[in-house]
Amino acid sequence: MSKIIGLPSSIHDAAAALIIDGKVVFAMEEEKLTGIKSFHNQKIFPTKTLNLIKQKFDVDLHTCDHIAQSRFYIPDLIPKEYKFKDNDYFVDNQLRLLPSISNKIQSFSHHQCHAMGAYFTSGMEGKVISLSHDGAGTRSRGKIYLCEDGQTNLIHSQWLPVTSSLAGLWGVATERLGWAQLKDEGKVVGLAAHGKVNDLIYHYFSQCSYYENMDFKGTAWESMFRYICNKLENDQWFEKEEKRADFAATLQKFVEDLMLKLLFQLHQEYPDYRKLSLSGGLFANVKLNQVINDSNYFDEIYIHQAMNDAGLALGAAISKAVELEEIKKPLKIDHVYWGQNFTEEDWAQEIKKHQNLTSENFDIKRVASLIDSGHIVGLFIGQTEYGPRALGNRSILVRPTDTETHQKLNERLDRTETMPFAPSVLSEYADEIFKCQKSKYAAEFMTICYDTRDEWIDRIPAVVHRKDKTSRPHIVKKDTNPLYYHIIDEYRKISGFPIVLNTSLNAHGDPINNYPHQAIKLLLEGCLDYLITETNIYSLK
Amino acid sequence: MQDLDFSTINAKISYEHSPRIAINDSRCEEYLVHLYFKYKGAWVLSHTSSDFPAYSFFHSFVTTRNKWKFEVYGFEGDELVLLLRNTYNETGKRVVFTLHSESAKIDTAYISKAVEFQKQNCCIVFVKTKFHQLLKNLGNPFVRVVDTSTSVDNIYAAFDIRKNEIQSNPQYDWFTAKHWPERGKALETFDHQQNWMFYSQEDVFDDIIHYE
Repeated sequence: MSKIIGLPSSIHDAAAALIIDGKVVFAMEEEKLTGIKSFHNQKIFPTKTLNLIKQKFDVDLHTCDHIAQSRFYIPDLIPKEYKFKDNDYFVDNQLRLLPSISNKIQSFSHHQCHAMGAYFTSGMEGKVISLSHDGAGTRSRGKIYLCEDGQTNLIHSQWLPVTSSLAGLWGVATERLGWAQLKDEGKVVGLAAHGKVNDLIYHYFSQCSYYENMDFKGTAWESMFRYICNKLENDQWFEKEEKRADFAATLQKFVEDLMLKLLFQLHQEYPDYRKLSLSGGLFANVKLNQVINDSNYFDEIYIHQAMNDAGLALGAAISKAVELEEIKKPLKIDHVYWGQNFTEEDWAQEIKKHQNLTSENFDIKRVASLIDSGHIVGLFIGQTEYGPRALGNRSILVRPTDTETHQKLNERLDRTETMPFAPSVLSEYADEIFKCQKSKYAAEFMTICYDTRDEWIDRIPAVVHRKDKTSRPHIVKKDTNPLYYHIIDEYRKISGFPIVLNTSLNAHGDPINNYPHQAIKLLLEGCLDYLITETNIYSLK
Repeated sequence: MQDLDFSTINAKISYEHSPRIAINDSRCEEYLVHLYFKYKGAWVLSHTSSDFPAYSFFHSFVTTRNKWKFEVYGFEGDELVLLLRNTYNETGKRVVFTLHSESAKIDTAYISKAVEFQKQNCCIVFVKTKFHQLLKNLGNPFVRVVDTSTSVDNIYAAFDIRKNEIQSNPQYDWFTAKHWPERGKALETFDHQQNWMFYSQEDVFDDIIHYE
């Protein structure tokens, strides 16, 4: 049995993961430790994440047994302590590292890491298709594996030079709508629900990319898409909100249609495979995931929690653990609280610095009543979540019952969210509120949308999309996050609502806050009314 | 079945040293231009421009011989239409190889390769060498060995045969792989700040003849 450190790609989404004896013990994104949101071409090495692994587990790149990576890091990014000497550009990268490092490095392909990361955390038994798709891996835009009881068989790779990327189209569209690629794609998903499909734009998209035998074809898709967007810009498609929404809605429909064609072919060719695990940036699109879930091709779908490239760190480590037979079958992971945690002492040190804070002892009834009375409450407990979703440990909680909450939260947090805020719901009540018969495990990680039941739509307007009436619930189980569960349950006892609004604990443009000082800053700046830890309730004097 | 070449715009295309296109037509203010090459049986992208202005030109920096294809698109009203397709084909056309070696022996070997090339492609070949007096009889009516200062009219394609350099950018590593059968070679400079490697054109002459 061994200690495996996983590292992802170096272009963006730096992260690291640690598997010890076949068990995932740590996974975290570098952005949560640097406080700087990952962006395209950021190119940083996960130094802080590796330092944290060393601090918590006394394992580093020198002392671990294996280093699994999705792609080799740019030599200039690798810290000096791992290198022989610097700067000889024409020497093989591997030779430039100390033997203690280079001898145990193993690379796995980008999409293998995505697909294996998804399958082996899906908990799915029997026949499963694992599908990945994103902007680009080293030579592929996506891979498809047939999996059964831990055995995996690659059946198709979307060869990069001749295929298009649905995620790439989405990224360019995000940019043309005035947002940032690899950061604001979710805003386009939210906008899409407000628009109508436009036939002419759909026709244009079809000229950029089309489906053929498990590929999204279109060698020159990106430039053609940009050329089309130039025309649309001249025709003022990106100025008026209504037209912007139509553009987004058309793109959403186009992407859904192409993906469903692929899934239909898989369904036809492999009808025994009724389960689907998904990973890659495209599947951050929770509406797409809903459409896939609603199709009849699969009985259950699962989306990897860190479907973006940060997930490659865990995917690479899992790929190595599988190779070593330390992971033999898909794991059903209970949670993704694998990041950093802080002690009472850490909090005391931080709180000491601020004279204008008042503190009271943690009292679950008091927390529930604060939520019920309409306050914005920051919750900072346990270890930071892995992946892009805040799942209760670094969350902001608000009652879900007010229509104006969206505007209020955006103002307080200086955000420009167009996506509706999402809820956390007690697992026992999920079916009562949402039509979530299938793929509930995915909803434990907030990676899928469901339709809201009619009788609940008007009761919880803050967490239901006002146009399409869907929601992206986080299903909370008592044994997964007991404290969070009990806070919501206590709120239920007061209000009758087994559900709260849950958004990530961060201000506009920041990654999810990991440190106490960041959370305190939110309180001091008036983003939060109260800040809750496992022991205290903080507020301004 | 290969798509036929055509053009509905005034554009000039040549492959002298590298693919070049000039669009002298005001049908559109801006054009969409794609330059492809054949790799592993597929047309893959070498260059693209989504805002190519009318009355401007582009020439690629890629000086090796490939099965090239230009495509130009533009909007006619709301319809995006293909306005031009041009596929590299030197059959019956004039091709120039300029040899830069300092050895008549090496150039002798190149001329025999040029003869092979001419037979394969049914074109008219001019080989420019500083040793033309010594080597001129190695040619034939279709492979003319001339001095380096000789001006050749109506050239379709031209290639310099000398030590050359090639970009090994990670995003285009399938491109460099054409010249590096061991794909790892291209990856040595993977994502590198100095993303260029030198390669010997001597090694690549065979590649010129036997391109895909």
